[in-house]
Amino acid sequence: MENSLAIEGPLARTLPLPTVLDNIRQQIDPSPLIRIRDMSVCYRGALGDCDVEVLSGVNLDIGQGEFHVILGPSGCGKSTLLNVIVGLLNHTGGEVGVAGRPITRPGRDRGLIFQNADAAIFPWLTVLENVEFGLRMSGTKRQVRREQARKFIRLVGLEGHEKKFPRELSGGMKQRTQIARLLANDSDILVMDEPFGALDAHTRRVMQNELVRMWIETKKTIIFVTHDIIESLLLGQRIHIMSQAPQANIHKTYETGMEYPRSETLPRFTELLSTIQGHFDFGGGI
Amino acid sequence: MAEAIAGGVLTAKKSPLTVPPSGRERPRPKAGLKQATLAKVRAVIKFLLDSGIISWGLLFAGWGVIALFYDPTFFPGPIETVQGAWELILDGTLLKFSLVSLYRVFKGWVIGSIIAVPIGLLIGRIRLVKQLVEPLVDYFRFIPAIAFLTLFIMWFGVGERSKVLLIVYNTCFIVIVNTASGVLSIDQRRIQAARTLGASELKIVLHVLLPECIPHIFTGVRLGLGSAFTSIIAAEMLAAKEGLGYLIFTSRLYFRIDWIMSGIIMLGLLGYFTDRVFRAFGRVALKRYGISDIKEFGQ
Ligand SMILES: Nc1ncnc2c1ncn2[C@@H]1O[C@H](COP(=O)(O)OP(=O)(O)OP(=O)(O)O)[C@@H](O)[C@H]1O
Ligand SMILES: [Mg+2]
Repeated sequence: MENSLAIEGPLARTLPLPTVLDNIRQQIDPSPLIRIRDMSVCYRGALGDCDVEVLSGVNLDIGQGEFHVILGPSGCGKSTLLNVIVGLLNHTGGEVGVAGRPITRPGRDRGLIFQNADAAIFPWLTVLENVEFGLRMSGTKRQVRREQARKFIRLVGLEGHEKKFPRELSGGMKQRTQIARLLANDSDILVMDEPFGALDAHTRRVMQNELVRMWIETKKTIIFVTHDIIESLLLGQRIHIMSQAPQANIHKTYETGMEYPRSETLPRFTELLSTIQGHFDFGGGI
Repeated sequence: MAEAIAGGVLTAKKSPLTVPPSGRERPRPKAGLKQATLAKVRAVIKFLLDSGIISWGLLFAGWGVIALFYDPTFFPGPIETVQGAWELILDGTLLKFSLVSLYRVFKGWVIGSIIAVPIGLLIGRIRLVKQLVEPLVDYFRFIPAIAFLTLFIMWFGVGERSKVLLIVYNTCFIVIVNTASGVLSIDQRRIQAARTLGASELKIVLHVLLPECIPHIFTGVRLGLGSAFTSIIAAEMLAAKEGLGYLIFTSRLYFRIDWIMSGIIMLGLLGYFTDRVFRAFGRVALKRYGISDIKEFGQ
């Protein structure tokens, strides 16, 4: 089972992994929205030389409207990869492109949830003002953006806290503010770095369901980083497992092929869970 | 009893260290009463300390005692000084001079800050500006305004202009340095967040960089106010006909030490209260940017 995947639709049979991947690349998705080829990233040392090659030989294709989860041990370079996709960090080798154009800088088409909400939301703005920030930057009319912001504040369950400042919020509430801010900005590609890591189990589950619901509704492209295997299985269409840094890359990709909303009791779910867990338990090549 | 508890709770809130462990004593009314009076005394002492009344009392007492040993024309005590000041108050000089000086300080300080904040932002944001300006700022900020006194008067005349420029000069360095260090120390991730939300570089400066730096700018401008006040004497030393600096400087011709002292005290009071007002403004108007009043010494 480890070398093969099950896919819904026309490919819903069991095929050996390389064939499946080729099919995905060539037939379903001839030109993926995000295309990463043999990409590497160096963090430069004091002298500007390549200090550590964190990522090396990363290949990743993400099609329009897909939900991808990136799973990997702490410090393997997940945040680094996301920063490259968003355009906050320049890769040092290979190619990274969105819609056929190389990524060089951040753009409104790619929104990011930062791993640390404290560093990402604006402490001098209220929740409402934080959420409407992106819309304000793009010159949306006050009335419209307020309405939009309120809608997403409701979605993340922060109703009644609109006028509060970040210092008056808990960690999870700050993270939800960040999520609402991203959703309100209506980027086509949502890049999320462990967005639910700071939430309690219940809120986390609610947010996971909401995210899936919103994704199905809006058909946005989502790249979601987590190190929670269950979360990855609840959310992702594809799960990419990264190997350990340095020179980390995408070690393995799984096609989950389950309907939403998913239940942890599905046979496919438990099967994938144990397969993926195997990678982490025995260090299986990661 | 209720009062005793209220008193206990009140002090416990303000300074937990001064309240003895009260859990055991509270049930006994006598001890409770005693504690209530004790707590009240403590509250009064705390108020006197917090409000600075004790510091001022000690200063005046010390001054009065030292002055007993000297000739009052040479070293007037508080009482002689108040008498001297009274003369100046009665003929309106003190008020008029204070207002004149205050106006000059205010003008120089505002102009200096308005020049300095953008320079500081640019130094913090653009490498080339930093490389060009930083050495000069670091050099000139050690040369006090008074060194330029004669030059300024020669270049800009004996009127208001040279005086205000002197104050501007003195004010701007500390504001530049604080603003620039504020820009340089900000968390890049917030700027990155704004970028991913689609903010242009200009909007980032206005909507992220500036708000982020407001505490630093505020501190710089506040310190700049101090610099402006300390340079008013230099500004009014030559070619002035009114102002506190003029008063302080010319009173020596009449050997009116008490007037000099009055001028000094008045200058300090003006500075003290201007600063208070400015801080209150910061606390109310800039609260969302994280300016509170109890953080540091002198803040
Ligand atoms: N600015 C930096 N300079 C140098 N090395 C860095 C820098 N940022 C990250 N690294 C290194 O790159 C590696 C990957 O870091 P990254 O933050 O991408 O990991 P991650 O997978 O997101 O981890 P986590 O799950 O803990 O968030 C780490 O080994 C880290 O030491
Ligand atoms: Mg990370």
